[in-house]
Formats: sequence, structure tokens, C-alpha cells
Amino acid sequence: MALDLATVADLFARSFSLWWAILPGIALGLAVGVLPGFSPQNTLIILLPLTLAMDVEAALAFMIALYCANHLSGGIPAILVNIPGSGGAAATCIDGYQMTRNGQAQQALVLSFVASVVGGLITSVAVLAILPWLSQLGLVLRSVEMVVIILFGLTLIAVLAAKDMLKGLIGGMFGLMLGAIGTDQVYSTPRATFGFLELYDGLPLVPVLIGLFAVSECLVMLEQSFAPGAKPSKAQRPQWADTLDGLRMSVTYWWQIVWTGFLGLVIGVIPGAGAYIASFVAYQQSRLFSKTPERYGTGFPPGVIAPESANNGVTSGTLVPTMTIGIPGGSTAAVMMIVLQYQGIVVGPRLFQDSPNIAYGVFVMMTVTYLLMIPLILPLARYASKVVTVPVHVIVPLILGLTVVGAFADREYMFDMGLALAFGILGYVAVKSGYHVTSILIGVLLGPIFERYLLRSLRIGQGDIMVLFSSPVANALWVLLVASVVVPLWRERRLALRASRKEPA
Amino acid sequence: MSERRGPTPIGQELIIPGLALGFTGYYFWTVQELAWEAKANGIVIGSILAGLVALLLLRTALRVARGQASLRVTLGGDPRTDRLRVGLLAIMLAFLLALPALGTTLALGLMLFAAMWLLGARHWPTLLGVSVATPLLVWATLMVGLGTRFPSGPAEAALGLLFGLGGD
Repeated sequence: MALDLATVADLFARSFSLWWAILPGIALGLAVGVLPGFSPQNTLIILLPLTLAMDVEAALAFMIALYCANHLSGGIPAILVNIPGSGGAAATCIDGYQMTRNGQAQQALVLSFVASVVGGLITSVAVLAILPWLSQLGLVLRSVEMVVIILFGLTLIAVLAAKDMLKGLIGGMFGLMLGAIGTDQVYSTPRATFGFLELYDGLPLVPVLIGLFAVSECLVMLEQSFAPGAKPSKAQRPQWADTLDGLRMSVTYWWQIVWTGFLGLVIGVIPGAGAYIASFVAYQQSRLFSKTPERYGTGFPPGVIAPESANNGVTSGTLVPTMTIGIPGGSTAAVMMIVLQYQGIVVGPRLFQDSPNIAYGVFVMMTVTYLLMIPLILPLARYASKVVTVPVHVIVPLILGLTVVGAFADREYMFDMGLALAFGILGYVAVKSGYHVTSILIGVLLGPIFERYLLRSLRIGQGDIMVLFSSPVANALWVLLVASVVVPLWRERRLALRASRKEPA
Repeated sequence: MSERRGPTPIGQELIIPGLALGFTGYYFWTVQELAWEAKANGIVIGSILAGLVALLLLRTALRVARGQASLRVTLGGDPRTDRLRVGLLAIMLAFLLALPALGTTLALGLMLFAAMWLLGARHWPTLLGVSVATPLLVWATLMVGLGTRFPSGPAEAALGLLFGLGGD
């Protein structure tokens, strides 16, 4: 299917017809985005039984709407109570909370919402425009290149997302190893199944996902929330005049919204980079190019716009590697990939040939979601401050109960609920000892795909491992992979040396 | 005067690599008699993993030798929160064990009540509201609406009779 004007119009009509899935997704995304601990992936995990039972296009529309709205509303608690609702809103606290302390909470909320919606909208349209070129990747990438791409993706996640590269790589490889559980693809002989028949089809992704993210996060949340110093939310008195003033500020700084949104898009395309990195990079770049950098941190409007626009620019960027090469750009994209796989849709280079309505439709749905969010900006800014946070002693049992029940719904095995709990403990240990759970999950997710491409490559090369170095594209990717590991190490060492030279004797 | 601190405990950083290496060893043991196609993937990934763990061990040994770190294991939690965490896991385990006998609705309700009580909830309307409304929602949406075959018990039977969903 070529992406001509008629096709785009058809996709838009189909997406608008899914309003019944998009609007609840937006409402839910906005509601849970303000709750620290209720990340978009956790919400999607809780709702997996529902999305797995839905028609694939409706499920995608719902998930995308929830994802985008969640990125928008994460800024609300960041601005009002200095607690980011999601990682991507962490940088918003710096100037957003200062604006609240300066009596400009309404203005900060409008700035945040306008930047989020406009940043997300323009970047999803931009991705739609370049997708026809990206879809050609399927013709260039063969099994040899895919093996290197999977390793490269895992390496980037380790380098960018994990605090410690070595631990990130170990997590990713451990995930790939776990992904090899189950019968082999040629002779169907069981491998590393611990004698469980339930593992013959491989490690089920839904319980692994639930365990690594939801269960482990609940265990971590206990610690963070029982610590002293938690701040209650403050009630704000909403005024339309302040809301309109925020709108005026947004128009004044329109260029900030545009360029930081595109910065978020570019960062989002890199697997593992995600909203957290994008929002901080955007904040730092915005400050760097500002004529008044000293005003940042004092409640300066561009300090709210930059991270929020980049945070939503990431939403479309993260889905680019997922759809084009089958490497999820982040944990929410990984959840979406699992739902698509469950529905029999294999994401990756062939998606544009096999299911073009999904490949292009995802970004059209995202555009439609942002369009439907526009009318919500002003009323939301006026009433968002009334949102009350749910106490931890209610959230944690609810997340645990609903997600572990959700682990059953996929295959209807009691075994899967126990598996979710076991992976929850593994995830908790990983988080507390500095290992990145996303890299483990993406390893598990890509394990069977990696094996398929590796076996195909080895068969082409008649068992010779050197076949992995036989193509110019693959070799270029190997060089990039090595550079992505070596360059940060070299730079870190150089900085450490420089710092030690500067230290007085 | 700066506060004198001991070496950083890093023993916990070896738990995941230990599990990873243990699993890789078990994987190799299960595939030792299989054809090369069944082994190739594990050998490639397992070798890279072993190399990475060796690097981590080397780094750990260097840090310990320099006196910058110790092999003490800690996950950083305070004793009170750790007790709550273990209690919560015990409740989840009890929930899984009781599920076939009690059915999903009743077991989930009891699990939610016990977990909220453990975490300090004492507001009765919240305790009862959440632990009654949530299982009913799960029953209505997942069991009745989507037809997922969750374990059934007395609560499901009573609800079925009440709403005329007894079936055949």
C-alpha cells in the first residue's frame, strides 16, 4: 500500500471512527498520569486482558491515546506539587513548580498542555511524512543485518537508559538468554524449561512484563512512599484569566515548542533514550540557546515548554524503531509490541508490506489523538489542580491484585500468575542492584526473534559464524555498535583524567 | 571535618550476574545432546554474557582490592519496609494458593483487604469499598464480559444465581 493522499484520508477516517476507543484512552491516560507509580506501561499492563480481547486497531488506538495523554498529564503533579507523574516530567519540576510558587500554576499548566499537544501533534505528522522512506528499510535489512541491529538496539539501551553500561548489557543478554527458553525452532526439543510444560512455547511475555514492571515497581514504591517527607497536594483556586494568560505565553514562545518537540522526536527514535533523557536534553539545550539563561530555574516559561514538548515529541519517535525494525524504543512500545504479537502481527521491516494499515495507522491514530486533545487543554488546565493523589496503601494492593490477575488472562494458566510473582522478585532485585529491567524485558522479547535471524544467517553461511560480517550494511552497524560502547567509556575516562589533573595536590 | 565512611557494599550487584550465569549453565546442560541448530543461539548469547560477567567480576575485584567497595549484600531497604514487602509477598502467595478453592472474586477481595490492612489502611469505607468493588469489577468485565476462565468458587456461583447467569 503506497502512502498517497487517498490512503492517508482513509486512515484518518478509520482513526476518527475509533473515537470510542481513543476518548476513554485519553481520559484514563490523563487520570493515571498524575499518579506517581502509575506509568503508562503499568496502566497498559493492568488493562492487558481488555486490550488482548479487543480488535487490533481499536486496541492500538486505545493504547496510543492512553500513552500520549499519560505523557501530557505527567506534568500536572510536577508543576503543582513538585512530584513528577512520570520520568519524562522530571525536568518540568524545575521551572513548573517555581511558577506555582510564584502564583502562576494555571499559566504553567496551560504552557505544559499546549507544549505537549502541539509538540506531539507536529512530530507525529512529521513521522507520517517520512514513513514511506523508512518503510523501504525492509528491502535492505536481511537476517544478517537484523542480528546486528538487535544487538545494537540492546547496546544502545544499555548505554543510554541504564546508569551502568556493563550492567545494562548483562541485563539485556540475560533477557536474550531467558528468551531462548522453550522448544527449539527446528526440532522442537525442549530447552531450559525446568520440567514445566507451560514453558514449552517459550517464556510467556505478559507475566514477564507484569512481574518485571508492575510487581517490582510496587515493591519499590513501598520504600519510596513510607519514607518521611511526602508532600500532600495543595488545592488551587482556578481562574480563567490565568488560563488565558498561559495561552498568551504559549503563543509568545511558539518556536520553543516546535524545535524542542523535534528534538524529542530525534531522541525518541534512538532505542532506550526515552522521555526522561529527551526532556532533560531539551531543557538543557533550551537554556544553552537562551538569551536569558539565568532566568531558568526561577519559573521561566520556556523551562516548562522545552521538557514538555520534547516529552511528547518522544511518543512518536519511540514507535519509529518499533514499527520499522522491530526494536521497541521504550517500555511502553514493548507493551504495544507484545499486544501486536499476541494478535499475530509481527512488527519489523516486513510490517509495511504485510500490515500497512497498522504500520501507518499507528501514527495517524497518534495525530488524531492529539487533535482530539486540543479542546481539552483549557478546561483541563482550569480543573487539573483539583486532582487528589491516591494513597500508596490503596494503589499498591490494587496494582498487585489487578496485574497478577491479568497474568492469568493471556493463556489462562495459573502457572503464569506464579511466574509474574517470581519475575516481580527478580525485577525488584534488578532495580535495587542497579540493573535496568527494560533491557531485561526487551532481551526476553527479542530472544526468539534473535534466534530466528541468527539461525537463518548461520544456515546461509553453512554454519560459519563469519557470515555475520559478510555484508557492508552489517559491518557498518558492527562499527557503530563498537563505537557506541567505546566512545562513552573513552569520554568518561578523559573527563575523569581532566578532573584529577584539576584537583589540587 | 568530613564524616568517615566505610567501603560501598556492592555484593548485591553480583546477584543478577550469578542468576544469569547459573541459568546459562543450566541451559547448556539441557542442550548438550541436541543438534547444533538448537544450541547455536544459546552458545552465542551465553558466550557474550559470560564475557560481560567476567568483566564485571574483574571490575568488582579491583574495587574491593583498592578498598573502595566491600562484598557486603544490601538492597537498601529499611527493616520496617522490608517487613512490609515480605508480608505483601506472603499475602500474594497465599492468594495464589487459595485461588483454586475460593475462586477469583473472593480470593481477590480477601487479598486486597489483607494487603491494604498490612500497609496501614484503617478507613473502613475505603477498605470495604476497594475490596468489594474491585473483585466485582473483575468478575463483571473479565469473567462475564470477556469470558476468561478464571477459577470459580462460591462467590461466582452466588453472583451467577443472583444475576441469572447460572448457565446450563
